[in-house]
Amino acid sequence: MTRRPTAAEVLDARPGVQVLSLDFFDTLVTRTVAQPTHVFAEVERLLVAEFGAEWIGFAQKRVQVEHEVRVRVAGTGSLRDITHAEILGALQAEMSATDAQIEIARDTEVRLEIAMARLVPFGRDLAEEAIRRRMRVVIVSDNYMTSGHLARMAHAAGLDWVRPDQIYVSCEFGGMKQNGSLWKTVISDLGVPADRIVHVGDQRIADGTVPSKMGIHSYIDSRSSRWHRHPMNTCPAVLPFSRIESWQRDIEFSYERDPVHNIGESMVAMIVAGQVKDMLSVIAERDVAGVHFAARDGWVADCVWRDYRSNGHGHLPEASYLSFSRSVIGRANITEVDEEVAIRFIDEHERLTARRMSQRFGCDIESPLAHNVEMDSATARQVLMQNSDRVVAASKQLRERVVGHLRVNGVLTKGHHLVADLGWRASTMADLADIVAEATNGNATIEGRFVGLYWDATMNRTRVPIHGYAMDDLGALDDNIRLLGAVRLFELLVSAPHGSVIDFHGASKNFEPVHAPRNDLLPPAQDNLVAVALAAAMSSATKILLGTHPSGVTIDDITPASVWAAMMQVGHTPRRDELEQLSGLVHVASVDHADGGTSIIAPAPKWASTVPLQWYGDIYDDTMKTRWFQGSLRQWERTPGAREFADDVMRLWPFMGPVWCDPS
Amino acid sequence: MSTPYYTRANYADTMPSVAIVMRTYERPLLLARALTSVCQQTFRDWRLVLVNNGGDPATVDRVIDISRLANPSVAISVVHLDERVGMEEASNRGLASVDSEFFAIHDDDDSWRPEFLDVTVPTLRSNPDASAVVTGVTRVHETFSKGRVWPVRHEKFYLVPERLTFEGMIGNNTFPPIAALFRRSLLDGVGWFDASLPVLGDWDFNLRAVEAGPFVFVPQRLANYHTRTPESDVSSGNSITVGQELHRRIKGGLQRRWESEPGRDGVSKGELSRRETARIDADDAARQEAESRARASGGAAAKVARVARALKRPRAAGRGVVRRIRARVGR
Repeated sequence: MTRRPTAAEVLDARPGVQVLSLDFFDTLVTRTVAQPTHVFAEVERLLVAEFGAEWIGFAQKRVQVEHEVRVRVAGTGSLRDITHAEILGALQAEMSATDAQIEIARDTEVRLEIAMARLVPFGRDLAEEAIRRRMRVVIVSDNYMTSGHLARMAHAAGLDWVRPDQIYVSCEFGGMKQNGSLWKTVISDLGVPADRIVHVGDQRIADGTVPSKMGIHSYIDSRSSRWHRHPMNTCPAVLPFSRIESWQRDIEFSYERDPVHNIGESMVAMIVAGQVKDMLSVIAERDVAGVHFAARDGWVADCVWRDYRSNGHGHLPEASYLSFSRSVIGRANITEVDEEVAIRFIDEHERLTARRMSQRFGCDIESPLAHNVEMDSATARQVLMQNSDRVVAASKQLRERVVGHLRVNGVLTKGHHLVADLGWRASTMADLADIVAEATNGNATIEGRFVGLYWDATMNRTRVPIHGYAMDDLGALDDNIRLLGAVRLFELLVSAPHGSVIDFHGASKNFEPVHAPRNDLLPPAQDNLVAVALAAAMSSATKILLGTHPSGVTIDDITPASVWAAMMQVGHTPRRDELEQLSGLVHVASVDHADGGTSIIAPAPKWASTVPLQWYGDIYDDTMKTRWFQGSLRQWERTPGAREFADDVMRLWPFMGPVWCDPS
Repeated sequence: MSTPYYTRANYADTMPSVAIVMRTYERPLLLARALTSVCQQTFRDWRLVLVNNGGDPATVDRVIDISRLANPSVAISVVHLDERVGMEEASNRGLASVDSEFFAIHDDDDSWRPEFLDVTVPTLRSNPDASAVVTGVTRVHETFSKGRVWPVRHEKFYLVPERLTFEGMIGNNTFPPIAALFRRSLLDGVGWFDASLPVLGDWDFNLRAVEAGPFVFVPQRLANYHTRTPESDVSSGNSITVGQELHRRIKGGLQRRWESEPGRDGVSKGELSRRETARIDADDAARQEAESRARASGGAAAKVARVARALKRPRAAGRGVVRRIRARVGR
């Protein structure tokens, strides 16, 4: 963890300076949301409530229009900044809004900018230290808001000393920091040599390179702006996640935390709170025989449900944690070993010994080869089919133990049971439904409640009732694919700390699950990272549900759209620091959870910029099926030599571009 | 023409705001999805009449049973027909079995966004002169094969208010049934669906309905019109994508029938339809050509951007050229 210099140390390092110049946004003042464009999302929320659905999408249009106005003005060769009036004029045309409507939009935006202002402690410390040293303090900002408005924001943030005449803002001075013209004005106006000024800001070029070239001392602190994700991903649904992130950002002004801790506390917590809230909403509408959180994905939600019950919600039914895995339920359902079954249980790329196959299928697999000789997948599948009788017998016994586990956990009680799982195809839930129906002669039924489903779930709707909370197969195709691209990440982070379930004990041990032993092939840090995320998620989700979360986010903020937004902010547009930490994670997909798995981030292809176009489809498929697609893509974007390749991928599959938010 | 012999059933229960008629035949997977689409509606005062058009009753009942497990309070009734009848006959049988303020035809392969009824019902209520509300549509191209269905492409279905007038609709059927909510009283006023038509019964009905009152357009894309790609199993095909020749034939027949019906300004409905068909075809061709030109100019813009990039990053551009050459020679 890096120790950052204090305000006094920053000033001490530049002896003789007489003027402290501070950038405004994200150096002195920030907002109660994680990124500037989320202020427009709050504006949209209010405008939609006031004027109706035609204002849906306002936030994105506001961002887009500002960008277009900037491009237009820059195209004239002018060095000046744009004005708020220019943005609003273009916005009015874009939205076909009346004068009165656009005035309300302007007023709402200005009012919210002030209401949402929050100070940046380091900027405040710098200013106070400079004032104590009797230095002159000025604010230099590239912005379309007036100095009067910025002063009001500063006052709202608690910086009473700020006066409009201390502020050099680009829209009033005809030049910008970015192109150097504003710096000329500042130096001339202050009447001191450039080397008597120290400027602190968050933008490497506008606050660093450009003033340095003019002789001004500069210091970059981007602790606030590093929280920004893509500006176009802004809509009311993203606000709860953004509020949690802004609260985390404020904590990090004091001390740094692991990115994975923050993800656990924000995205994972919102997913888990969504699982619990979904259950609560069903229980409020109809009677159910039982509530169950299933598979490793359901472990955190089960813990949170217990905490929630014991904190004033004891009237809720007790829930059970059904510990199973896709492979163990699949194996319990084998009635014959045909080619389809062999393909399902032996991956194309696997090399297996007969010994490992015996462990995988819970029976002695006979093979013409020695038990420790590896076979390719085709041979292994043949061997499996030759051992059909043994496998089916083992499956039958396993099924009895599965039924025992279900009985112990109350799933076979007469009536309709809710079973929560993370997602994505519902095939395991359909298999489970078959087992439950058969074991109870149809007296017990189950319903799958998932966080997300994609199109392959459609075929299981004829077998079991299923519901996707944040996304389902009826959602937009682009979102279905975005979900598919990020499922590896979600599976890794929303998971029990115990190993995968590979079997169940018998009646003597109450049909408890048998977990796979710790996989020594996994990176040593993996368990710790996941544990950090889980602990943070558990505490944060409980607080959200109880209404005690320090960010102010409550159960009312947990909606399908807000959970989806949280999933996409991290899963689709991860930040650099998140990628750095998550790139060490490995996903194990094999049926017996016994191999070293695959890194969730795919390395960029060697000689990425010369990969033939006809290979792109295979790379896309492979990455989509085995990795965290968007994490890999964003990593390629940031890897020298692979950026052009990443650009090509996004041109071919535009929905994998950084913008996931689509209000249409 | 409309079939007057459908009589209303005895309605024991209170009348729902919306009657939803869904016709199905041996497509359980798509039916399960369609039921989900209806059950997920945030507006709850509806009754679904499922018309099983001659398919296996047990299969349909099982799909409904599964749906009911998660939605025990929803109102679903089933009409099992012993023999398969035409689509419009099936619609009429469904409509005849339930009274309501409004009605919608929800095909078993299409779907709604959960807000569809929540938006369309108040809109139709607040427009008392209107016959129907039509929403924006997403066209979903999907492949249905060997018991699996997966989407291939989504696109915006071209629909503007001008295509929802009599003049806009006379040349062509301009929207799929899934996009519309109708006022039930229309059935008494302009007649029921024409059961003699194997296809295009909705077009014929829409034209009669729009004469009785305007259609209100809601641009939000709240309806998904699913069509199967050519790779799909034949049994899953849409009536339009599978039977284009049949559509042409029936359309010609309708236009001939309309020769004796008044259109506009002394021109018969049939003649008007033929003229408008020609005009719309020309419009569509022009629009497609404009889109193709736009794509081409986009290509030119991409070329300019590539040159600008090349000037900025010559080494990367060089690699790009190598890649394109390799791609062209098939390596």
